[in-house]
Amino acid sequence: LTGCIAADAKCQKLLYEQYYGYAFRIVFRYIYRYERVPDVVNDGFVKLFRNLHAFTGLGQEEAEPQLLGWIRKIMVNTAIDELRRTNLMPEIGGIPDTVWEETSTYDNADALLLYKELISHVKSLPPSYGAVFNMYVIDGFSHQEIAKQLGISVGTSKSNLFKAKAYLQNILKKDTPTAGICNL
Amino acid sequence: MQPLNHDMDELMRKAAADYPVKPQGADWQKVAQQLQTPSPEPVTKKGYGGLKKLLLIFPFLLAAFVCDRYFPYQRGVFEKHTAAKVPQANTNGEGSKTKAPGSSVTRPVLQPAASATEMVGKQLTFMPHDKRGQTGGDITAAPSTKGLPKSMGVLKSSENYGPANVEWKRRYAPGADYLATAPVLQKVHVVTVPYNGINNTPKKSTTEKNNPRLKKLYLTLLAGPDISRVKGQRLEAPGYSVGVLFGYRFAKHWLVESGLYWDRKNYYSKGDYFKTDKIYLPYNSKILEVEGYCDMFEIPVNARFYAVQKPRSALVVSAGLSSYLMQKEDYTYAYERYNTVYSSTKYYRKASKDWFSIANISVAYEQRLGRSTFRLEPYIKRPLRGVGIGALPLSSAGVLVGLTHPIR
Repeated sequence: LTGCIAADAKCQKLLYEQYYGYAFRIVFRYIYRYERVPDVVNDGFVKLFRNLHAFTGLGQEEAEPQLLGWIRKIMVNTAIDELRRTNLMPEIGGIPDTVWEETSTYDNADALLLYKELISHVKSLPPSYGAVFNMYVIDGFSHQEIAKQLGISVGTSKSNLFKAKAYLQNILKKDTPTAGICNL
Repeated sequence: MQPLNHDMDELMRKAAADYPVKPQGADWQKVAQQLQTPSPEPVTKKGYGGLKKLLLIFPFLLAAFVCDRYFPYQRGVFEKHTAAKVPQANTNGEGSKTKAPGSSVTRPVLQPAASATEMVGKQLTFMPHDKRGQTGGDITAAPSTKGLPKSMGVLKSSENYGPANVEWKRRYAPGADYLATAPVLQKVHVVTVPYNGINNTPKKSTTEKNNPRLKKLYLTLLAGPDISRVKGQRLEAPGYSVGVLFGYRFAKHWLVESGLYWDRKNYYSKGDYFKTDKIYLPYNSKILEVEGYCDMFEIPVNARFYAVQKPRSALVVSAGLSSYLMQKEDYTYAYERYNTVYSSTKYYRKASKDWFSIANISVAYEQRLGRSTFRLEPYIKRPLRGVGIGALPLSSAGVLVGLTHPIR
């Protein structure tokens, strides 16, 4: 991190390669099109390196969790900027199977399959619902922060979250009528 | 429901952390390249906007004050009228200037033709208090009422009037021995007529009465084509301007005019002049070209000066400031990102209000048509600062055609 703050390209490259996958997973939840995700992630890293001097967790014991939180926030903001640029227009077309990793070789293959299905459903939400759901449920933003970021009212944010949850519950009930996933 | 929601939330968080997506497309070279380019400087607003506006308005206010103070509208008529009547009224005043007793200064003092008692029932002219002593013959006793305007006052009371010249001496010959006659003065009643109650304006000729240019308030309907451009760049198709203006004449040659236009302006600009602070663009994008139009309300505030006045026509020079209240802006962008050119169309509603951001200059030819006046007004509008969401320095030119109708 010290090297990155000093604009050492090697250090920056190391950090980029180490956290690219983490950042990619965050952005891919917001941006529907797989091929657009790398650009947004790269933009997020540019922002991160330019503002790394403001990172306050340097030298502390739990620097990495703080850094992860910082990366998450920057990536979410960058993804929201991209969504706003497109006026939260819904995308059409499905997600090709090639974007998913082969899970059969993993020990927790069933869980991974379930996670893949869940994220696919979240991505199928309309962008205005999906953004609020991602920000509130997964990334831990408050309704006030969401409203400010998306340019909507707090009430709209709550309403969108409620509708998103209802929509997901309906889909999951249809998909897994006997699955018993927490009685979703 | 709540526990179920909590379970679902927890599951979603786990899924988001571990879902099996292939993180492809990592390209450190792109990021490194972007890091080497200087980051855009944040735009800081200067805090002198309000002061600038005031400074811009100040010359117009000063001009309006000077004109109103020194060139008042038809103020000279009253003085001219009374001055013309004085010699006729002072038929018995042999020499309108006398040396006041006890005074070494020759003062313009009227010698009344008769005592006040004799003047009961006869017409008198009365000047307002602030005008007395200025014209040299401000209180006029006229033995004959012929030729005098109806506005003159009539002395009503007839009891105990002292020598009339005592009043004149008290007012205009302070060195005189009027103190000895003080008891008499107490009985003197001077009937004054309020200034506002006197209709001193002469009867206007029919031509003057019907001349719409001499009316104080008027209404104008205007419309015309409008051509806009940004910094001398390519011209687009003409837009238009339609509006209504209200004018007020505060001096003989000076008017102030304001109202509301509805404008459509078409224009083109290179990306260098289009500021992207208020729009959302993908990171590391650069706008190459912008083409678009805007619909807006325009509020002009103009000072107008009658440079040439003829009985049926006039040439009017006008200058002032305009405010643009954007209602809709529609742009087609061409922008570059990572060496790829994209095109995008966006529209913005009520994105900006640019108060007093445009300077207007125009010359109008006016031709009288009965009670109304036809107006042909070529104009130029120059930007004092950027307008719209892209803060474009938008210049305009055009010709307005319209009709002016007097209100009052």
